[in-house]
Amino acid sequence: MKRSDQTFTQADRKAKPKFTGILIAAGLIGVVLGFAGNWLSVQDLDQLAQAANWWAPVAAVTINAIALAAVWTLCGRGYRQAQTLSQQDSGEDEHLEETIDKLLNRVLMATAALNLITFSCFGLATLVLRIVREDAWPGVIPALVVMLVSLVELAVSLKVTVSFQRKAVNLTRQRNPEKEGSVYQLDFNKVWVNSCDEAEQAQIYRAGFAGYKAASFACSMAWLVATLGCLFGFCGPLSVLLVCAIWAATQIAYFRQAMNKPSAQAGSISSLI
Amino acid sequence: MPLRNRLKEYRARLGVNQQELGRRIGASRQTVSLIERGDYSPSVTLALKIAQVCQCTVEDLFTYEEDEA
Repeated sequence: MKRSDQTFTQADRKAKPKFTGILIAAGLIGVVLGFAGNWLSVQDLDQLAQAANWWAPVAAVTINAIALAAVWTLCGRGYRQAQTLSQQDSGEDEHLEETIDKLLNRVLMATAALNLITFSCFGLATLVLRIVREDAWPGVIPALVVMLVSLVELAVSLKVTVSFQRKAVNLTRQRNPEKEGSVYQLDFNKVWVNSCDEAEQAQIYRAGFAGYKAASFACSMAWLVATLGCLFGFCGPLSVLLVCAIWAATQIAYFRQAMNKPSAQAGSISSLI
Repeated sequence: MPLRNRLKEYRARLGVNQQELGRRIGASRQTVSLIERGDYSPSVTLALKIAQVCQCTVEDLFTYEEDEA
């Protein structure tokens, strides 16, 4: 039996006030940001940008080094703990199994966080090249030193990330022999997911949808910042286009899968990849 | 979740741990644990496999109880 139009109207009427309130609040925030940006004179922004060009690369290299050391220590400790518990595991203790899984998941999360920090810091560190070009740095040598340190950090970070991911994946495979895939495979994600059972694949579905929702929200916020930046001249139109490109990619990927006709293996994520 | 199960009981009768039961039904140890805790409802295919391994019917293993209003 189809629901009546009245049911839809009631649901709309119930949700509308909150939706309208959010729109008005977002508009007011935009007005405040606009006036605040206008209040900061163009000269102030230029001085702020010049100051950032000085300290941002050095701060980035420092933060990256701290993050690298912290993650190396935490991941090492977490992995060793998981390995020790795994050796003690007789297969009967459910809590022990969950503890080991949590430790390995934390290792993987830490490596993902390190990747993000490293790529962000490397991007900031490249500001030194602009400084050298604009002749704002005291000398070429300090700028090249910062760039070289940043490159070394990038290489070390990638090595550390891959190493811990390999260890975590191999320990998981040791404990779950049905799992397949090597972190060095280009299609590792697909191979791994195909070896997961229905409950694990359902968990991946949920995680994927949560990622899609977070990405959509983040893209809308990033668009706002990039547009304001473009308006007040501290970033160019490329930033707006990049954000929109990423936004479009997430939306298109989501709707393509949503419209995908289920195959004979309906419910299996392997049929959709 | 309205689906209740006696999987832990039947697994004890079989004398196997979660890892071994998972191997027999083609699922992971984590999935067996989730089903036993009632945190995951298996598909029809998996429920039938579990029943086959436990040498009982699906209805023996799983019962559906609506929440009373």
